[in-house]
Amino acid sequence: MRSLLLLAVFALGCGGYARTDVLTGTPGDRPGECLDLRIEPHADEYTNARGWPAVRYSFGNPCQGATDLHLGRAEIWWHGGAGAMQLHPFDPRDELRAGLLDGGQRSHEVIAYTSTRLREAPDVMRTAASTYSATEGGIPGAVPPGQICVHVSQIAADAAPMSAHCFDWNGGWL
Amino acid sequence: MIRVSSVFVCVALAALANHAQGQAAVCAAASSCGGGGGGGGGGGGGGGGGGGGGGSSSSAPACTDQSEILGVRECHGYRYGRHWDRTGRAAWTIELEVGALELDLDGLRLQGETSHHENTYRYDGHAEGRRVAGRFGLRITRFVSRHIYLGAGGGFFLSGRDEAIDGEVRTSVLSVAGLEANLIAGAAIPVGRQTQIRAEVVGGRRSVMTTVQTQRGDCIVQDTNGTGQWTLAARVGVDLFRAANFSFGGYGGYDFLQSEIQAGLRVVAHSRSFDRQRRR
Repeated sequence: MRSLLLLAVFALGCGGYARTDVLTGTPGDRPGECLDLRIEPHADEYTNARGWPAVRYSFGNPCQGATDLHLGRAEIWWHGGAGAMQLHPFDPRDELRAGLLDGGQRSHEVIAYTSTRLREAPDVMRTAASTYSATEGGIPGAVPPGQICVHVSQIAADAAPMSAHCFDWNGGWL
Repeated sequence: MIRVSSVFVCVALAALANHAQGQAAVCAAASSCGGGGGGGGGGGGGGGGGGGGGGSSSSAPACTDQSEILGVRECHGYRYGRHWDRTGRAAWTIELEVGALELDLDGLRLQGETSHHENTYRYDGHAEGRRVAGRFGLRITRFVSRHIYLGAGGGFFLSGRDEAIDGEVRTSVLSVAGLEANLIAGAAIPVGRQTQIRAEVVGGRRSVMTTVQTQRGDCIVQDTNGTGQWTLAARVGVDLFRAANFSFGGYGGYDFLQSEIQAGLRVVAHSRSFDRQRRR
């Protein structure tokens, strides 16, 4: 009887992905037909020390079929008094690529962005930091204060039209 | 016979539930069941902060990431897309079955010698009748196209005591047990949002062990007979998805070579959501 009860609890308890699992009613929510996306600023000691803005992408697929997803196609723009520039994802291992998110699944990735295209591995970059032409405060790729806007219309065929989401940035998230 | 079969089914369900309990623990570790066993739910990084280093009682130091960002995070074999990207991944299923089959004993030859009171008796004949056996099976299938799958499986079955046959030596079949190995070819068609119907052909070979008891007076001797049989069954089944990577359902079929009816329940773990059959 106990075994049957356990089996029943397992069978009934593991429900599928629900749209609200990713979307939490925050301004960073970007619902789509088969791709729900939540954009949030991310900060930790590593990114704070380098002055890099980082974005946490939480995504889920409420459909039953798979949907494509390419976070490398997100465009991150810095807007400041001096104009605007596109930031580059910090991807030293060249991992960003198109992926396939199965139906009913969800996950997340955190990507940092820099003002300079940094290809070196973190350890190498750290020891050779002095060889870089510093942009702000002598830290390679540091992003000056301004506004960071995340454009996600291109990350999936299903994502359009998704409007940009902007955050204030002062060397750290405000 | 019926009592023995019932015990078998209960044991099989207990094993199944223990398996389910293990999966539930996995679900809990992944913070939610919705992500499924297929790796959704953020995997090891779900804890946030340091990327889910996790506590451990082992002597090895726990891996702790400096940061959760791409390019820095590397604990637990992390790489971009590992927890969610299914590009190029085939749809596999692992299935546990608990069921019953109606054994046809008419073709089962029983032959051997037993000794009673220093006299040797030879018995040679065929078992008779039909009896229900409990069956436990494990299968693995792989979709080779959107709807067609191939696979392999194995299992065992067990049936209990038969009525004694009176004669010069009283003979009775104590039990019939078997081990089977099968190849599977089938098709699955989605019906509605949560259901799929399957039709398949299951064929293979099985080894049947029959335990015979002979009795003359107060002398009781047991003997074992073994034989091999080919099987070829047509089956239809229904799977009801409880999550994108988990379903349970039932099947029924008929073995043409052994003239047996078979039916049962099964739980299925799917490597790809809904076996990659849905477009939306």
